[in-house]
Amino acid sequence: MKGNTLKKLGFGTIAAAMAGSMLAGCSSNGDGSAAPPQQPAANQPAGPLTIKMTLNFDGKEVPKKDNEVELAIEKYTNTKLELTHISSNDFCTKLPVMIASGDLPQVIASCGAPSQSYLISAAQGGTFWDITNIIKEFKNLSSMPKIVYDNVSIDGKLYGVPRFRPVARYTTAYRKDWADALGIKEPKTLDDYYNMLKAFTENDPDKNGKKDTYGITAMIQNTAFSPDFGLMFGAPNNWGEKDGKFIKAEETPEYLEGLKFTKRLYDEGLLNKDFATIDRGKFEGDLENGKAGAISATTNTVLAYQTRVQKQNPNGNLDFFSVLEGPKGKRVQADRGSNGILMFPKAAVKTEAELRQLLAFFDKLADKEMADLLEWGVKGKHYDIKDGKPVRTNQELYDNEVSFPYKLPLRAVPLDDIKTQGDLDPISKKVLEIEKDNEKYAVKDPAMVLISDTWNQKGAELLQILNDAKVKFVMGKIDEAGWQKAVEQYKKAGGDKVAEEYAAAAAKAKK
Amino acid sequence: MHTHASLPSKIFDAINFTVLGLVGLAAFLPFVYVVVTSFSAQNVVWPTEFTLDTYKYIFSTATFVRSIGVSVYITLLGTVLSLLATSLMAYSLSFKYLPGRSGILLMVLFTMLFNGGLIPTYFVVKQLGMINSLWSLMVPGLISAFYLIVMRDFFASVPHELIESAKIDGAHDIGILLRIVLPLSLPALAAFGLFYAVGIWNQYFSAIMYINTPEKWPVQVILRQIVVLASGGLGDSGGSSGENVAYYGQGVKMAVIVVSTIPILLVYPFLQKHFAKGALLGSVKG
Repeated sequence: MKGNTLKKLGFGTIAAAMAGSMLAGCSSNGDGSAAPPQQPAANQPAGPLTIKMTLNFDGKEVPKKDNEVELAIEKYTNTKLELTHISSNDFCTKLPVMIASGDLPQVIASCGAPSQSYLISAAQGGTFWDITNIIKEFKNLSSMPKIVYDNVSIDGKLYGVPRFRPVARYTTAYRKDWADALGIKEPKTLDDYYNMLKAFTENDPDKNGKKDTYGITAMIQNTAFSPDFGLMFGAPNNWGEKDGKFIKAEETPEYLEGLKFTKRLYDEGLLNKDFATIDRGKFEGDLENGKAGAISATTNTVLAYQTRVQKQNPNGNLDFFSVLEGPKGKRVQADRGSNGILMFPKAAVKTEAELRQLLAFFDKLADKEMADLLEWGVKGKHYDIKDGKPVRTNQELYDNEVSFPYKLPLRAVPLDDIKTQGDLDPISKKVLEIEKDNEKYAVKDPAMVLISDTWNQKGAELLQILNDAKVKFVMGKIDEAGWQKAVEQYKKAGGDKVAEEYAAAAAKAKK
Repeated sequence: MHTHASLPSKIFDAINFTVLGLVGLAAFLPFVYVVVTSFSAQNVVWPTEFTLDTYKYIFSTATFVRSIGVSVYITLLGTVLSLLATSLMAYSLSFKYLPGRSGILLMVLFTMLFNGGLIPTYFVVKQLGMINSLWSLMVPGLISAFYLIVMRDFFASVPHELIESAKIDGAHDIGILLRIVLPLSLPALAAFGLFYAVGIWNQYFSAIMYINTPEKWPVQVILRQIVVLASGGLGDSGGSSGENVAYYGQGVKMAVIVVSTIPILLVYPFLQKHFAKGALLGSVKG
């Protein structure tokens, strides 16, 4: 009995397995779900251009193919899109393998900044098209600030279209309702800021009669301190350059001042005692639950934080500021100005004409009609017109159906000025102002486009030395001498060599 | 309990029970914590409120339900295929007179010590046309070298006389395997079946590497994505946090663990009786 069923089952599945492994190339193994996808017929000269893209994806669920938004994009740009959305984390693992195997689509996103060693060597090895000179032909694409291109170029060449985002977007979000209750105005200087945090901790801003709140929630985030006050006190942004010499921010006395400030917050209980060990959940949760009064954020996350705070407390209200008057004036950290680049592999894009067609596609995405689609979504579904201005009706639906799958991975050019101006909430309005305003105070990281082999190999290790020392210093386990010792240790472990390599690379770039 | 136990023996028992009990608790409590947290309201250290929100969140995507289907499908088919392929190969290798036997075994052993690495494997899968096909989740790991060797020993322990007498009665080799050897090796089949099933159920890396369309993602890929999203750690290596994503808390992670563990927990009791025998017997005899 058993033998017989096993036998029947056995031969059927063996046959299937054989077909699967040996003939998988032709999709006739009778198993629909396992069949490789049919290649689209290549012989459609006049029809829409088929574009295969592999993009990183940060949303919850990839929308079904041929949804309204995708069809609208295809119609406007006369293309047939074949998008592969891969969750960002997975994509970062997969990208090196795809590059190494040469199995690439026409358009592929870089996972994060293109300054990663495998991307650099792939670009130097001619895997991707160099678009430095071609991009100038496209009016929308070439409209981005020069710094955005500079920050993603490899050896001075541009190997992809940067996905723009504001250059300086770091802010501090704080509980406006708390500040109002205590009669505090938006901080303008570091002292104001300190006083606000102190009041948040000691003056019972939520008026519940208990001393159960504190100033700012902090954590170690992606190996960086959040918040990090070094820059405000005058330390360089990551690396400083002077007369061709490079110096890491942590080596400067200004950085130590910032660290002392953090320590003061810690000692006085204005900063959570468990900052060194908590995960993101607790970090953001404390703001959400009304325990902490402030958090380091980026301009694009403030609104989301506000929504979350209001979920817990309907009267909760956030506001934010970006630059403070510190001992060395107003300073804010400059970012790369883009969220990865979109690259065009030579393996899939054979001719320069084809490359131009692809670039034209991204250029068209910044036309007004597409900008409205990407920024507002579909009328009646994601937004409505009120008093002649579009108003978002369902943020979550918009995020899931438009923002995550299309706007964020595909938009290259900033669309804010192109789209129909809508009726914005106060935070979104302020975000746009601050992002512009910040450009004046942004402190660049001179090492951003430079390549250091030592850093590529040992960067994580070196950062660890510094981070450990920062935590210990703030917690009072080491003093200034101990901090200097750790910095020396960092320099000996490779820090000095990195600085030399950056200096050499910078000198080479200037020639 | 023994009524006439001596005092030292009673003390020994007491210590024994206490230590084992503690060890048991140490293994069990994390699970309790996971399950309890998965039902708790957001962002609290010790759960106070009961909520199903986390599960609602997980099941709110159509992708999730479909991915369970994919996982069940590849687990069932993959386990059957793996067991078949493994037992076929193990059976033939269990005969000492098989020509080239030691050579084949050496090659099998070689794969236990060295593997081709990510990129060559990717190439092989690609050349076989299995990119974006569910076969890529079953075929590359079809036979585990270790299970093969254990199973071969298990088959070798079946009395040779039995096989000879069946041959005299006119049975052919495949008949002997299916009717005599495999039924006698049920414990091994059950044990390795479970090992294979757990392995296929839990695999997510191959899916990430080889599967491009979300419709074919097994459940682990989706779960991982949910966890990554829920912890807010988006793939933005630029430094600070990524784009705005609602935060769903620790509970979601825990619910994910519960959901991905349940199917295996359900299967385990039915195979457990074979388990110790299957995993041990084969490896002891050699």
